[in-house]
Amino acid sequence: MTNRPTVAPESGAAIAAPGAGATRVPEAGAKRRWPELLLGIAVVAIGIVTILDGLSQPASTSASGLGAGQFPMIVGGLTTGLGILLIVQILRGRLGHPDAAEGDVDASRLHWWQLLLATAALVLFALTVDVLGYPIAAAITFVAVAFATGAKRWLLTIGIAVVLSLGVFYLFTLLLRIQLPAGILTGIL
Amino acid sequence: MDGIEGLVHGFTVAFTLQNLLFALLGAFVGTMIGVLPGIGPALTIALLLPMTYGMEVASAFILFAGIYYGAMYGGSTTSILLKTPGESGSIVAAIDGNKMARAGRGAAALATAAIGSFIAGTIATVLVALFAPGIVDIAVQLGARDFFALMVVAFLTVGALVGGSPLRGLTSLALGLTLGLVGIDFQSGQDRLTFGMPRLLDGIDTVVLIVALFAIGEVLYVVAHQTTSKYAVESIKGQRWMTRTDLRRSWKPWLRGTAIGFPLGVIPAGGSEIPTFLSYSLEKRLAKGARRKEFGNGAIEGVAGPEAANNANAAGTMVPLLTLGIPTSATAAIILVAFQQYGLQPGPALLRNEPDLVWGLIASLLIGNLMLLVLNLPLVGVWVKLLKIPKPYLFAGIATFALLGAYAVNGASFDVLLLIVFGVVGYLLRRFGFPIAPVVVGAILGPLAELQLRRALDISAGDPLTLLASPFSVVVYVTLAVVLTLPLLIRTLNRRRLTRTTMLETVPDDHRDQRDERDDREHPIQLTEPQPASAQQTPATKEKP
Repeated sequence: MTNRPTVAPESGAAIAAPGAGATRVPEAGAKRRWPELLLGIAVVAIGIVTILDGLSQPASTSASGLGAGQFPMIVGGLTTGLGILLIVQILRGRLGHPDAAEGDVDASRLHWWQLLLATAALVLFALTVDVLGYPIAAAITFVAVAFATGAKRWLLTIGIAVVLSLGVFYLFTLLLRIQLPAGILTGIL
Repeated sequence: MDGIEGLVHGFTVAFTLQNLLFALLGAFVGTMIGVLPGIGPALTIALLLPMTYGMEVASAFILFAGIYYGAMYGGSTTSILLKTPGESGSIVAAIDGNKMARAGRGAAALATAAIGSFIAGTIATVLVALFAPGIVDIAVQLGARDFFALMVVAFLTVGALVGGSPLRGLTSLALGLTLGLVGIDFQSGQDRLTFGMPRLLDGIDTVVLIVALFAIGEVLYVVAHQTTSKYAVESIKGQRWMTRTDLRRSWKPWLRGTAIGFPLGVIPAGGSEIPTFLSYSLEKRLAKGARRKEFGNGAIEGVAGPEAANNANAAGTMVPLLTLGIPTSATAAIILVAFQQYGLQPGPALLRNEPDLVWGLIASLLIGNLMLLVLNLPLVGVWVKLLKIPKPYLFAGIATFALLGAYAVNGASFDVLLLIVFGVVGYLLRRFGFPIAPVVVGAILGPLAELQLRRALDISAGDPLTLLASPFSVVVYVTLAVVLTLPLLIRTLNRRRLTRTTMLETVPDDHRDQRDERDDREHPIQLTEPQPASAQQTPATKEKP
């Protein structure tokens, strides 16, 4: 685990020196623009899909002439228009400001593999919860997300994961009577 | 029933042993979850929604009332001791609150926040009770086009005024409206935007959507961009609570904050950012001499005013929600979802048909508020211990709990996949400066707006001019124009004044304040405001609405 960026000593010193922020470096601007441009294009695409979906709806039989299709066309048109404006704005160099409601984050740096690990762990849960059962799937996901966030002690983390997922399992199935799958542990738990 | 009568009646509903216990439980759990960094009131309620499945309606809402205010109290603890506000309304108070905590005055900051929240919450809730019946009397006479007009107001104000950039806010809103379309059309039974997936016929579960955007988005954001895996929690051990001077300096900001927060909550003016920001700049302007220099470096007024404004604002959003059925903040939207899960639709009819429920809810907001003060002043040390949970375990816990919540809704892993998809969307929105609240409000209010629009047009046989034909709707649209331009104007003026002259001198950069003071001054506060180009040295930060 090379958690280099996440285990930076006290948050202070390592945080971006003045000028290192993504939106602050002119020469990097063009490159930094790409993710946002893609986002703008995605917004336009969503708008167009919505319009097309609205167009494909059958004609209305109601008194107003408004059927299933008109509102989607309005919403889709709005989305498309805003997406185009957004692309124009981004091309003119106005980038977004990352959410300010967080402490200890620096959006100009991206921990790629930690992000991928955490996302993969979430997807793994979705794919395995029915087969492996809730306790195992949740424990694996817990461990993976914890390591993506900078946990270092393997045994402790695994221990917490196991205790927590079993605890939640029993709490839900026994106390709240919400059924969670036991998966391959059926009969054992 | 007028307000006072209703409130008295509400107390008779709320004052049963069982309901008092639920209020206490809600306040306790709400504070506990709300204290956890990054979990604001909206997410707290969304995560705890499953707790109330199968409960009696009145008790469930009394529980919510406690959770709602509890999460807000918890949020100020994290803001002050950790500088992680969790939601936009706490950002302003976090600046000076955190500075006070660093200077060894954390306990005083927490106390002024708690007492200010209590006073603001109490006054505002009583005002809700006084206003609600009158508004309901008007609301029962409104037709579909009038409701549609009100919803347009909610959309535009929430979309254009939340966050730093109106364009990005409206884009968030449009995405939310699109999500609200998914599923079967209520009138014709056609399926829309389901792409042949039968699971989507019921629409996107709002609880899944909210938990995804707030919780998973949050986890991914922190994983991808955190600078340290440890929290720097300020200690409050052995500190004195408020002194006489603190009290003398706080009480006026509490009242002024309430006066700013409540009306801006009622009229939908776009979330809790604007009132807290206005309160901060007002307090700063009113401060004299050396006091003014304290702003940004730990002025108690800078905590007292915005925290009061935040709570009064939150209570104010209950007025349009309960009387008109219109949610104007993410939290109000989730409370609306909670109502819908019990087959209830907030609005004028609700107060008539279910007076016990609504008045019981309002009364328990007052009770919960008092309980919170009692819980928070002496017990804050206990809550602070929750901040000691190591960050990796905290976020792994949030992630697994969110997965559990999504799975438990229908017992289907499809919902978990949806959760992850929208979680990634939530991360991207957060990363690139798109506010989350308009997505939620759009997704939940969109279908209701479509209902009213089509109802109005059905009545008029498709003549779109009918939307402008009632005096009420004309008044609403005209007011909308004023409401939309006025805050933007105020904000532009404020930003000019604050960032250019005063904030430059006094308020340090939000995230990089651990460098020395001299360094800080080169980076004025980010809040959620984009900085004018003049305050920054590079062109890329000049995004202006």
